[in-house]
Amino acid sequence: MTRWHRATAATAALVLALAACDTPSNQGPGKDSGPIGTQTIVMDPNAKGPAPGVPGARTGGTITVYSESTPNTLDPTDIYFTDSNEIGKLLFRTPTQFAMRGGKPILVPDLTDLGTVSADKLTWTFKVRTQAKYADGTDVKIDDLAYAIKRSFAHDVFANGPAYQLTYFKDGDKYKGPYTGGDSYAGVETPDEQTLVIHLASPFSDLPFYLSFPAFTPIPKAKDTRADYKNNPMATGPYQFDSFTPGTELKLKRNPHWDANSDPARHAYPDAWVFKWGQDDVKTQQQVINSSGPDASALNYADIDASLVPQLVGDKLSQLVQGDAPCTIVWSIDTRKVPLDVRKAIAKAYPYDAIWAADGLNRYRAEPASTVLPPSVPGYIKYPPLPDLSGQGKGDPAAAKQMLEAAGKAGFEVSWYYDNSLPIPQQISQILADALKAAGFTVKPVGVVTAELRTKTADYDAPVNMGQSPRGWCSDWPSGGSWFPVLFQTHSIADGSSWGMLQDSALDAEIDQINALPADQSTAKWAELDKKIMGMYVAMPRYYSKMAVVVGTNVGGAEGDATMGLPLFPNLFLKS
Amino acid sequence: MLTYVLRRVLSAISVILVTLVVSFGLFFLAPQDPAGVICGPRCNTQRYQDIRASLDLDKPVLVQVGSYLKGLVAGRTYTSSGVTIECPAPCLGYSYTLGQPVTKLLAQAVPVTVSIVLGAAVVYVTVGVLAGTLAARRRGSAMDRGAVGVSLGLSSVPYFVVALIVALYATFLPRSEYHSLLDNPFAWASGLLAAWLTLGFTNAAAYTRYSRASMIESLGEDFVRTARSKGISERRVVYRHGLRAAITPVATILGVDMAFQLTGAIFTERIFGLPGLGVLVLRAFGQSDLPVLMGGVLVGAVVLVTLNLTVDLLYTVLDPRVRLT
Repeated sequence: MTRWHRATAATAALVLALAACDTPSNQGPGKDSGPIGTQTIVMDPNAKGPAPGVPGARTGGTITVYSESTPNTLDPTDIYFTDSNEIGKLLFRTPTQFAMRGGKPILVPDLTDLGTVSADKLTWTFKVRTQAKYADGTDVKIDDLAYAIKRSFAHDVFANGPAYQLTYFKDGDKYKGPYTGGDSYAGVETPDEQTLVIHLASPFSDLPFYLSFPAFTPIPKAKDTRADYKNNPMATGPYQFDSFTPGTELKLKRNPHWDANSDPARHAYPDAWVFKWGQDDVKTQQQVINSSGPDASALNYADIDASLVPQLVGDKLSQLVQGDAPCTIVWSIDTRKVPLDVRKAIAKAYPYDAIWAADGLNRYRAEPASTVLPPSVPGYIKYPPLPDLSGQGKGDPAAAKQMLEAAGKAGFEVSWYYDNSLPIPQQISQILADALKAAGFTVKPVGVVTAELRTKTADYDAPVNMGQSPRGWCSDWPSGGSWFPVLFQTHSIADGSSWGMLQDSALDAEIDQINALPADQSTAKWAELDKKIMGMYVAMPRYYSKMAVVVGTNVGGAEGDATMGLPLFPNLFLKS
Repeated sequence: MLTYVLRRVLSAISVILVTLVVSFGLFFLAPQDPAGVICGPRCNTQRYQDIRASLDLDKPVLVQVGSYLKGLVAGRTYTSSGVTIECPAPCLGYSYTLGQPVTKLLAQAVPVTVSIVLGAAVVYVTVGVLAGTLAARRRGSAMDRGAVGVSLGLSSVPYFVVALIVALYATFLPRSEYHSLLDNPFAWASGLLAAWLTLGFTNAAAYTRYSRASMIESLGEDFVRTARSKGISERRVVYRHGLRAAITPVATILGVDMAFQLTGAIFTERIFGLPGLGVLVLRAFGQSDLPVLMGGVLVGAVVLVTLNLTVDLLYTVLDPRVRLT
């Protein structure tokens, strides 16, 4: 499941709906502000708390965070979207965690070390590094970590949470979590109070990265209120719930039992946080830019609306925080239904530039894509774009028509779902329909309402052959291991996370083979595989997303969290 | 009088019941499967069936309506993800998207909306009626023309434009946010001040015109002439006799306006970031959260019917000439 955060998706329609003709929204893809930084995999197994201080930081005050979209849950087991994940960094300590050092994400030990793997690569052992406490003052026990892992298998209850454990952990396909499967699970052991052992069904070299997810924060079994847990989860991070109005507002206050000296990844500069959801992004971004009164201590974590970009000059420019986002946005084609020759013709006709403009993309928010992996994920190599997969260009319907006729597929029917209740998706659908019609296709766009779109595009048996979800993907951690095994293996179809619905056993085996390699060896292999899969024309690469958000003039320490494509909350402070 | 009241109350209850049943039809007229929408794209069969059963969608329609109505008077039990959730009466359903009983969500949202609307009503009634009365007393004067001109000008600007300008640039006003009146009355008032003034002054324009017209008519009535001929002071004639009669049609409009605002304060809530009923229902609409939508419709129906009834009953108090039969 893509973690392309809901804020992005929800505001995509609003962004540039208001954009005037000459705003940067209509600048072509060529006016990019700068390339996305390329990351390398870095771990620091020896990192210790406290986290290095943020220059100029001071404690105190309340930071207000505005957002139009609402996190779907704050139950740590169910958290998968980036917005709730970033909030989770304030609330939940996890076995491992990403720290930002010099703008680069580095995996550091959090509650445990980074683990050691057995010779057969099927058993990982993690040693507890610190005696943490919950916000109520009780001790975190090793069994709580094991229970959280077991709880993550209860996908009947926490359907939105990450699901790699179902594939990689021992008996992951059989165990159904503690509610129906009982406490006995062979995949996790706690031989003593300091040791967590995880048994795997197949090698999973990225496991230390995966354990940075909120799903693996300790949860005491006695305090597990199941579906109700999201309303007041046990905090181990710097903050805890103060008050929570679902869908509207979350207030956080300090967790007095959080020990900064044991935490190498987090700071806790503000005294409190207020998250206000359901707030119009354009309006609150304008408030943040104005920074009058309390809004000087506020931020909005949706990407800047193009209509506001012209205001970001002079001193105001310092309020713009730019960073990487680990996402590639695409338009996928169902390879089960559309032959390769036809897919190539679609690529030839694809009107990248017109769609870029209609989508209101700009140099702050996006960069044309030509690969599977975005530049911010280790393994990305900027190889010369394959023909018609450069993420830019007007498309060539005449040449596409020739290709289609040469393949004997003139009049081939292509169909897709689009949101007919929002203007931008309607425009994009129309642009695509016009281009493909000109190329000799029979086009059949199917309009559906917003609430229905996700369900329709996630149905791989629906009578369409393009544009199924996910229409983008973001790294779950900075490695090809959170891309290729999820998107391109046969099981991806059943998982509902396939680009192109590939069913190639040889490719499955190749991906498994690379995924079993240590991170330093797999990186180059993922890059090679990237080009091979792009050559299958499974998706039109549209753009790599970037982070560009605005913060109030009193907010300091703002930098992008490259693992989430959002501002790194644990580093933020108020200047006065 | 008593018969009239009873008849109106029964009529009000029947309207609410019909609304309830019609809003229930949302489940069947909506273009998508409510359980599927609630369950989301990563839904598994077990959870889907769980939600269907909890919504009684696996039962005949009449049983579903019956369960819903029973929940209103006797409460109901829901099952969500293996957890049994008691929904005490009046139970309006359970929001699976927010994981909360609808009654609880409405109980959080309604006070916000009521606070906005009542505070704004104080502003626009006070300002509008006073300005209208003064304009009527000095009909044709510069003040009259000024009051009419300003009110026309204000009402010609779309409300959301005025509200946006205030929200973004009237930074001298306290930041808009909602605090419970019981917790901190000062914070409650200061957090709502911008919304009150915006909604109040934009609506005051219309009330100025209503009051002026009504007052002019009232001051031309026989009873006013009689009062003047008795030698009663002009101030007393205007405010005790004229205004009392003139206020009746204004009160009618006020009732309708307040009902409209209570159910449609969405612009104010959205622009000022106040988590009221409008924002709740809008979110529910976007996410096809049908239980919340039904709850919102029901609250709207109750508010409309109750306020209309209240206004009708107030006629007799405001204008002695009105007798309800």
